Amino acid sequence: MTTAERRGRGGPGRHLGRIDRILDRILDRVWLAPEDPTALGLVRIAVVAVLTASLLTHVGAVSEYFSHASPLQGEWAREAFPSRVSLFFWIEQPWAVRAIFALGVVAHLLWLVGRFTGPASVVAWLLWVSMSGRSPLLYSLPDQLQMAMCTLLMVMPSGRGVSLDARRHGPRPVPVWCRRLLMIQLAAMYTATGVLKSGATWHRDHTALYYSLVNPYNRHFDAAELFAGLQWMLGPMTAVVVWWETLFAAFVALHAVRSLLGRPRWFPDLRWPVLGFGVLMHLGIQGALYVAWFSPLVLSVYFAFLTPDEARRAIARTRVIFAHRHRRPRSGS
Amino acid sequence: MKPLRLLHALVPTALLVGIVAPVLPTAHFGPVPGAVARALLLVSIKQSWAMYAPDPQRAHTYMELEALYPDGSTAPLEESVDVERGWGTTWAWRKTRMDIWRFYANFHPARRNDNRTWYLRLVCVREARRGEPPRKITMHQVKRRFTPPAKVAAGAPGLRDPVRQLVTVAYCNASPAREMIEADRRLNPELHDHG
Repeated sequence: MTTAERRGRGGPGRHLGRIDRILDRILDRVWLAPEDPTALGLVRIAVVAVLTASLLTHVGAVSEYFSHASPLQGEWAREAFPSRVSLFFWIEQPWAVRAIFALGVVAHLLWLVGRFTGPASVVAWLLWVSMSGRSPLLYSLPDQLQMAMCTLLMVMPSGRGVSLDARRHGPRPVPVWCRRLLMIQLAAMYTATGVLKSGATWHRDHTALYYSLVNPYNRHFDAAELFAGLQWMLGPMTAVVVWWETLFAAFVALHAVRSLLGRPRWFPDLRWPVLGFGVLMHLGIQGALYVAWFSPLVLSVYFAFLTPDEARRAIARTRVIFAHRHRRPRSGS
Repeated sequence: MKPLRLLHALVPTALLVGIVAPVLPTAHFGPVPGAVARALLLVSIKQSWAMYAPDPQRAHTYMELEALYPDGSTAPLEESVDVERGWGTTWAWRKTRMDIWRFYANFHPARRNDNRTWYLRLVCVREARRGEPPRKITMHQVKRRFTPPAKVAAGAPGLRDPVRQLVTVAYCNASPAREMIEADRRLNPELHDHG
C-alpha cells in the first residue's frame, strides 16, 4: 500500500477518531463527569422531606380520594381522567389503597434516610403518579413541581451521599448531570413563568403583587388597605420579580459556563445575589400566602447550586454546631 | 466513545427534553411541545408553568349549590358556606384538596367545563349517601372583584360587592349520575345506611 493510499484510508479514520474524542470530552464536561455526592444527597434529604410532609397531609382522606369509597369511582373515574395512568384505577378496595399508601409512606422514609434508596424512590414515585392520576383535580401548581422533582430525583442516584446506603457501601461519585438537571428544571419553571406574565398588572400598572396579596382564596392577612398604602414599594417589587424570574435561565446558563471554565476568579459568582433574592421572595410568599409546599420545595432544590465542597463544609459546620449545643449543658452540670 | 457512555448520556438528554420541550412555543416548534407534554401527562407530569399569568386573579369566585329534592323542597349544599365565609383569610389547616377541585370547577362559567360536570355528579353521589338524592342541583357563582390599590388607598373597600350568576343545572336522576349513585349503593352500602 502506498503512502498516498494509507493517507486516504487513515485520514477520515483519524478525523472520526478526533471527533469522537472531542464529543466524548464534551459529554464528559457537560453530563458525565463524576463528582462528590454530598450536594445531591442534601437535595434528596430536603426535597424528600417536603414530599413526605405533603404525603402525610393526605392521611385521613386516602380512601375518600383514591378508592371506591370516593364519590367518583370505578369506570367513571377512568372516564373523567382518561389521559392518566394510576394503580388506583385497578386497585380500588379501600383497605388495599390504604395499604399501598402506607407502603408509600415507608418508601418515602427510606428514601429520606437513604436506605434501599433506588427501590424506595421508585415505590414513592409510583404512589405519587397513582394519586395524581386517579384524582388529578385534587392537585395544583405546587403539586406539579413536586411531581417533576420526585421524577427527577427518582432517576438519579440520589442515595450515594449523606445516606445510610453511603454509610454501608461508602460514598460513590454521581454524574454532574444530576445537579445540572435540577438547576435546569428550576430555570424552566421560573423563566416560563416570567415570560408568560405578559399582562398589564405586571408590565404597565405593576399591581400584580398587590392583587396576589389580597386574594381571599389564599391570603394569610386581610390587609388590603395596608397593601394599597405600600403600593409605592409593591410596584417596583412587581417589576423586579418578573424580570428576576424571566432572567433566571440566563443566570443558570452563566453559572454553567462558570462551572465549565473551572470557576475562574474573574468570572463573578452570581449565586448569592440571585438565589438570595429567591430565598427572600419565597419566604415572603410563604409568609403572606397559602401556597401549600411550594416555597419549601423550591428552596430545597436551591441546594443543587452548592458545590460538593460547599455542601460538605455546610454539613461539617452543622455537625459542629449540634455537637457544641449537645456538649454545653453537660459542661454546665 | 463507548456505547455505555453514550447510553448514559442519553438519560439526562431525554430528561432535558422532557423539561424544556413542553414550555417551547408551539408557533416555532410545531406539534413537538404538545406531543411531549401529552406523553408526560400520562404519568401526571406537567411542565406548564403559567403561575399568575398573564395576570394574577383580579376577582374571586365561589360556587353556590342548591339542591331540589323530589318532594319539592330545596336546601343549600355545603359548598355554599364559602359564599358566606370565604372572603377573609386562608390558612393551610382550613383547606382541603377538594377546594382545589372546586376552584377548577368554577372556570369558564359560560363554557363547557368537564371538571365542573364531574364535580356536580360527585355531589349527587355524596348527597345520596346523606339521604334522599336531590333531583337536581342548581349551580350559581358568586364573584367579587378586587378593588384596585389606588381606590383602596382612597378609602374604598378591598372587595367589591358580590355578583351572582347562574352557571348550570345538574340532574342527579339522569345518566351517568343515576348509575353512579346505584353503583355506589352496591359498593358502599354502609355509607348509604341512613338509619
